[in-house]
Amino acid sequence: MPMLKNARLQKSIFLFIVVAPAFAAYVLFTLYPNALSIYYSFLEWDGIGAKTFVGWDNYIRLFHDPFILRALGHNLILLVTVIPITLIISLVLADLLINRAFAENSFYKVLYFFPNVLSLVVIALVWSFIYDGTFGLLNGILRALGLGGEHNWLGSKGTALLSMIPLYVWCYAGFYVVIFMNAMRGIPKSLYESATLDGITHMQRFSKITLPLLSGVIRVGVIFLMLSVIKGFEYMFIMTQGGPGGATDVISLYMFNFAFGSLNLGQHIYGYASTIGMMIFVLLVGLKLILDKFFAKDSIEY
Amino acid sequence: MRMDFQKNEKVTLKVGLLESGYGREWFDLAVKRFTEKYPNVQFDITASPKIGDLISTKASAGNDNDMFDLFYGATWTEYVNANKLEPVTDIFEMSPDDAPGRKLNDLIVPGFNDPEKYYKDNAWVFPIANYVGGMFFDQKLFDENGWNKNPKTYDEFIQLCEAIQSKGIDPIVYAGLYNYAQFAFDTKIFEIADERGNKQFRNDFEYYNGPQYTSPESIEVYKRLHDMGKKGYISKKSVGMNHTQSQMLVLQHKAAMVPSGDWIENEMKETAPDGFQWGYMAVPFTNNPNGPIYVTNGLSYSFEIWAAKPDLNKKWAKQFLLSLMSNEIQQVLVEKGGALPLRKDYLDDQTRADQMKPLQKSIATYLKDNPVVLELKNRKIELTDPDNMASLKVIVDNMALVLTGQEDPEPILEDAEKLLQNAIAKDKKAQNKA
Repeated sequence: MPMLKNARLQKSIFLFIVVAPAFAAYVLFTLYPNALSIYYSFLEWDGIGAKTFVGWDNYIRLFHDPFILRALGHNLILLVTVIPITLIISLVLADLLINRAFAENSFYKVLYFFPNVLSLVVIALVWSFIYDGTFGLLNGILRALGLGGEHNWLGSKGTALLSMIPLYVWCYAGFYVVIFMNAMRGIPKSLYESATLDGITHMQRFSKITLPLLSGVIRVGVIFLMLSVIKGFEYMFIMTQGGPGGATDVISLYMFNFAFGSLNLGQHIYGYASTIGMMIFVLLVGLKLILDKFFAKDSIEY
Repeated sequence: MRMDFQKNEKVTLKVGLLESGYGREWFDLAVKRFTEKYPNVQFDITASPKIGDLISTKASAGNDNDMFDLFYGATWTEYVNANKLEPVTDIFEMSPDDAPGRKLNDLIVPGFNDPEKYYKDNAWVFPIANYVGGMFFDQKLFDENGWNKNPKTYDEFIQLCEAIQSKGIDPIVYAGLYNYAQFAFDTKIFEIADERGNKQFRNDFEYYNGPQYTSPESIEVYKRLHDMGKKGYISKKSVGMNHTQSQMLVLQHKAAMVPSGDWIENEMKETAPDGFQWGYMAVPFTNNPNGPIYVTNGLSYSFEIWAAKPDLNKKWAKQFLLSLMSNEIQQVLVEKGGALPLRKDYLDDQTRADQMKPLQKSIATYLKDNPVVLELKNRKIELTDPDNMASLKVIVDNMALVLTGQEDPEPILEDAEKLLQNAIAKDKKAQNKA
């Protein structure tokens, strides 16, 4: 018995040594700052001076702030476009690369993944050049085709937000191509072989076997894309500053401007920014729960 | 004002230095000269293009020992409100070594530093370089076309725009992405007020009394800009354009003028074609040829001193800042960094005057030949309510559309005014000070 007790103690100590550093880092760098954000959301504070407790004022303001709704509307447009387009393109490309023995498969894989290794500033500059109203590549192509080519893509309220969609898809698709390719490789060949003997078409094979068996990976993909689209604002920050006329203002950019200011809004209002952060947190949790309703969580065993 | 400086007082000044477009040769030379004269003073320098982030992190951490004694001045009203900064007003009463018997205050170009206009009756930031904003253009292009390089009135400026447009060139393009139009136009409210004899305007501006965005002066300025946009004098391409893109159009003569600051020559030196010669003008909004013309200026490089430091450190930090105002250091800043001289006796030396770059000369000539008021636009109170930022957001979001004639200014100004008035009403500090 003492030996067993000793073994249990050793196991506990071992687990503690293994888990404690990571847990401490998680508490220090994730949990603690998040808990502080809850506290900040009840304050009026510029980050330097005295903290003034304002109760629910910031939360009340949140519900009366017209810019919040506008920004969320823009996030919604990105959600309903970027996620499905990215997933469809990545699935199709992954399926082609897996099932078609192109000699250049490895090259394509690297090519699609390439945006993921580029600095986001580089990406923003490349796409700013593409959309430039005077010297832009897109206008150049349109001019060559005799289709105008004078449009100010990022400077027009009608097209600024829509112009961000191809950029997002270009950035994200390559990553999911690699993820989906690896997941497709895990599907047993025997399933496809028996289906082929039954005379299944390629389309049926994709929709009846591949897609259902990838549902878990797709679910994770949707969640990550959702997080990226709602939390991301870097491209708007660099390329449009949320303009023109607020046409590309998204919720995280709006929050960022309150917390850290931009060239024109150089104030720090950490209290209200934290309140917006709390709203984004609740929103993301809510969306995750909704997703769980639509996607079966059960893993599939082959 | 005299301070007692004992050379046996050992002191190390911790400095947070911004590595900026002005380079750091001026600073290294200043440290060299200062430590030659005062070997008891040592410098512990942390230099970075992102020093502002480090300064704000250290300031927020609240560890006064770890904080810099002397640092690049990015933020100040928040620090002043929190009693974190040492006033530097007394430095302006001291005499630089190369101008004995003359107060620094009397040596600086009027308007480049005006302590009584500063926050809470004190100067908190020590100027190293001030920018001058306005309209920048290629002098050669203007000379070739016989265009007016120095319009004295608003009507003359509009005639200039018409002349440029008649040649198929956009008269004005600007970085709508960052609201660069402010560098040419945001002091025009003072000019209109001056012309209309509104003596109360400055006080109302400084203390947020009465309407701000919807003041008659503000509405007049935005209406004129909107009209210029509708006539195509301000190019629609400006919307969504950054400063590099807009400045490139001027370099390529697709547009004639671009609002910016005096750093533009340095900023575009790699891309400017041969023969391109930057010139400067302010945009007059008055129709009185005797002006005055209000010109945007502001601090583009400054230092602050942390209040919670030993008196000895603060005393030597101030002495060091004073030394930066010698014409020797100014010369390095002007010639190597492209800054405008802060000392008004700088041009007394013909050799120094001859060494200035074309744009620096153009600005200096403009300031000398025209009835110019350098306007800092300082407010005496600060609003901290989120509605203030929301009102700014309405303006920043929409100005490019207003200035290019695509949106009417008045509904936007009214929306912004409502939010601003909410902020004024709610901000207790504003109420107490009003």
